[in-house]
Amino acid sequence: MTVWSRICAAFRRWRHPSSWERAVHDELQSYLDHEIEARVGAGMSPAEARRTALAEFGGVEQVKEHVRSSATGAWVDAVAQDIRYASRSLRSSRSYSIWVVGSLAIGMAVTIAALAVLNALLVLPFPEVTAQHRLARVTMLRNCGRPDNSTPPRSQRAAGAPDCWIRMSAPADYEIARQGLAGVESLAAYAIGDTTVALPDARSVRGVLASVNYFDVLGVRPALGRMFTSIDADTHAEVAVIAHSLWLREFDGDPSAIGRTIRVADRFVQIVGVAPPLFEGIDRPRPPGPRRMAVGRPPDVWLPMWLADGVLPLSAAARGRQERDFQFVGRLMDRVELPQLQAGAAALARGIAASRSEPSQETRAEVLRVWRVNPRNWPIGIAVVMPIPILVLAIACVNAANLMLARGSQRQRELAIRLAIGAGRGRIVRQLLIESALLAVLATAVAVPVAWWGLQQAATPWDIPLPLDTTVLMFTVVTAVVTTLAFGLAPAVRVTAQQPASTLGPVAARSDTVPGQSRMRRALVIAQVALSLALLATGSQLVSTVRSEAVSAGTSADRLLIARFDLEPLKLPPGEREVFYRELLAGASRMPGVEAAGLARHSSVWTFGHDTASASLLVWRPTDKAEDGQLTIGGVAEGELFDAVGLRILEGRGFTEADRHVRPQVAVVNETAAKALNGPPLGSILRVAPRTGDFQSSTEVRIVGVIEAAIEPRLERGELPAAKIYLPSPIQPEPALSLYVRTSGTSSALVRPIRELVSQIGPRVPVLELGSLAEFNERSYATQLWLARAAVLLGGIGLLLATAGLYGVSSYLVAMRSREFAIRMAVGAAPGTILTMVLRQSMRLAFIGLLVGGSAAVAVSRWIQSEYHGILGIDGEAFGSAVALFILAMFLATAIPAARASRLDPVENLRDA
Amino acid sequence: MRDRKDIPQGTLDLLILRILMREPMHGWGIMQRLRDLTGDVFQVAPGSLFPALQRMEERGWASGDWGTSENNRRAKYYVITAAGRRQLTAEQTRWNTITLAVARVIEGA
Repeated sequence: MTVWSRICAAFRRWRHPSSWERAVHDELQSYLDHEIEARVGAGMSPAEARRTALAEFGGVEQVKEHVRSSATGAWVDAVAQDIRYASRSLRSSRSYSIWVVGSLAIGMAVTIAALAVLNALLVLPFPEVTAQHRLARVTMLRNCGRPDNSTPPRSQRAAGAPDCWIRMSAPADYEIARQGLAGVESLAAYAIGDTTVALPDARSVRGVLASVNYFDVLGVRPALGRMFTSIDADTHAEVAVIAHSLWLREFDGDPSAIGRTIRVADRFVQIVGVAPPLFEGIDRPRPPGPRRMAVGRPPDVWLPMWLADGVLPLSAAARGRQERDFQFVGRLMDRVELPQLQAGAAALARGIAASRSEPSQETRAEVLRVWRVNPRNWPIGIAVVMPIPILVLAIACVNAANLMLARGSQRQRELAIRLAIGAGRGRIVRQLLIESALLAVLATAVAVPVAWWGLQQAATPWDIPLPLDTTVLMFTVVTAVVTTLAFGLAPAVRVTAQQPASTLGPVAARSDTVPGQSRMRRALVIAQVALSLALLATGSQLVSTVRSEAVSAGTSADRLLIARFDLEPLKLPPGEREVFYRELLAGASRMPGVEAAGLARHSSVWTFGHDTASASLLVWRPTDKAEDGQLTIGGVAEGELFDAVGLRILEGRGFTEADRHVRPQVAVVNETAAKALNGPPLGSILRVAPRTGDFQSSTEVRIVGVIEAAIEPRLERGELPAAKIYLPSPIQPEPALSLYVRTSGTSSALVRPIRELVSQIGPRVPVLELGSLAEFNERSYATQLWLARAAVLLGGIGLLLATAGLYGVSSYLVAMRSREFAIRMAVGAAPGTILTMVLRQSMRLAFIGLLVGGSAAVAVSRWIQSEYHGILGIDGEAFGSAVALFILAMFLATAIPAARASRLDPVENLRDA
Repeated sequence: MRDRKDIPQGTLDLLILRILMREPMHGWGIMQRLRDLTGDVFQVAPGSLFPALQRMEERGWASGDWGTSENNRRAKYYVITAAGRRQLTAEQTRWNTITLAVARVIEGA
């Protein structure tokens, strides 16, 4: 009841505020009149009675304020009033508001964008999957019983296992597992791999081999057609579900694609369904590693697991083990939680191990949730993504706080008057905070669209959706609140901590009366300058470091076209591979606009540092023993490879048609290999064998030429590129070769003719990758380049903010000291003297900041250098231009207020007090 | 002027309601009665009195109406309502409990 009557009272008051005010006034007046009358009645003179009554009353306005503030909902009134007042006062000082809103908006946009990236990388569930939290990934492992020797490669070991654990994940294991695991509705299995699809041009695609219940377990509905059914399983139907993106790309979104037959690797399969647009399975497409030319990508086609090797060739690792790795995933039954599965899974693991022929002593099972990234690993992601955006936001907040302080001191008179006529300090702090909140809200309104735009830009190279969802927006609100407190609270408390008398007194103390706080502000400016310079210099350093990762040779990267092939999965009959490559080379050489064309294995042209993983040859001198053979990078170099790539011949000659024999008799080495010979290279004899140690096929070659070494990334300073040896014809099968074409114009014009040539001479051969070297480089480092460019951008933003900050502080100092300047000028200082004095004092801050930030940048780039093993040290050009830009910006930021100071009119200034 | 005490925390509502129980009264009158009844011991400042009156009116314990006072001045008279009576009983009970407890401690100590 009372609540209702209070609401009614508040409502009445809001409806008729003036009559409410009048009633309060009348009541107090009536009280006073009674009091005065009583005092007169007691014998006082009317004037005396009035004076004493008023004194005892304690201020009519103050009592009114008490009544007002005790009324129900009074704070709503007050806040509304504060908001009105704040928006009025912000409108009246527009340039200040724009500065603060602008810098906060930048800081917040950066933070929001970073939060969205984190959200997309770590938190978001996989699209289109129903109730991902009810899925369980089940892994069963057995101890292989031979812990010391023949440890399987890392990929087959469970992460973190100290000794030899092998996943039991073959189709036979799945057959047992899917019947025996209690607590899951059903268990699905899938394996990811690469295969080729003829559409009708051969394409390399990512395929998923899935059990019949895969889509049911994940709860994914088809966008078109149907998914796999049990009838498919019973009849072992040759069917496929294609990705939405593939459907749009290759079938132009035509519904009649359902029912079409396509050739996947060796088999013809019928398309029965199209997956929903965003579905990408339940594995993160890994970003491209710097050592791999392949780009991480989501699946293009899902194939039923009974088609197995016919549609999805085994990967090299799986070929060694002669079994395929499947992942098992199940959907929890109602009211079953993840830990309850553990015991069942362990028992199942023992059962499966017993069914195997190999001996095994121990088994173990892991049951995990399906995460994009396990929350245990979130801190790492946060630590990588968040520091720089938070730094930028901190700079922005420092900036805004500085500007608020500057403005606060201009408003000291106003605030002093309000304190003097009865406003509580809390009230004024609240009002200033509301002003900050208003600024933060405006900044958020600007920041959200800016962040959204930035995310659209970022989504392209990252190839992941970066939505601004509720999680991100919630964090945005938190950011806004924290920001408001961060930049608003300190100035608000500071400017209200004043004695009205000292501010309103005849000689207003209008200068920085508290040296400590002024020092604080200067330190903030220095920190700002240092942070943003470090950011800018580090960013440009990163860009050049990433660029130095690019491979190159004599031919400009725009004019070198590369097409990569791998004929191994096609299982062509003997001899057909050679025919394909010969016709490819001949066809490419005849094309108009082609200056030179050659064939080689990609990893024999460019390697990364001294990694001998890609070395495929053993090389030794005839006088040495074969066992002493050196692992050497090299292989076949057909056509005019050296000319096409742009590797100059330093001595001797390249290969000619006459050199082509079944067994190579001559060789060309690069500079590094030639130096290692310790003698004239030309005419030297070497023995070469395949790395496999097949000494039967070893052959003796005579060196006929020396070429320069290709430019390689990841070399230590002064280190020579790897030694390489090239042969005119292969000594072992070379199924995966790349075509190198040097073109007279830009290479993009030849992309289509090359594709046409390939589909003509080898309709089943997919072009794995086709593009200029520039594109290869760009694509390989897309993510890194994007990050580096983002760092430069953030550095630039930081510079802008720091400049604004320095400008604000300089203006503030000039405003504070206008009296002092006026006195100086009145007693004879020239305007020029004032100008240089202000400039000197402000620039000193900038230079200290530059010094600190510069050393930080140097330290960071040293660290990058040690991490990346780049050839480049500190990039003088990038660093120098960053510093130069900085000095210019800092100079402008201080020169404008300094000029203002020197133009002061001393008479005006000294009169006004 | 004798040394006046501020009203003990939380008893102002009780005292005002008790005064209003006798007859409707205006602000100054309440203050005056309070001073008389307590033998000039308790002092209520206008800065506390008027917010308290407003609170009571908002909660429906008293209703205020403009009328004419004994010396022909306009004044706002507060009349205790049914809810106010209930509140007074409740506050009196509370107060009695407290004073009884305090008295027991003092006597027993």
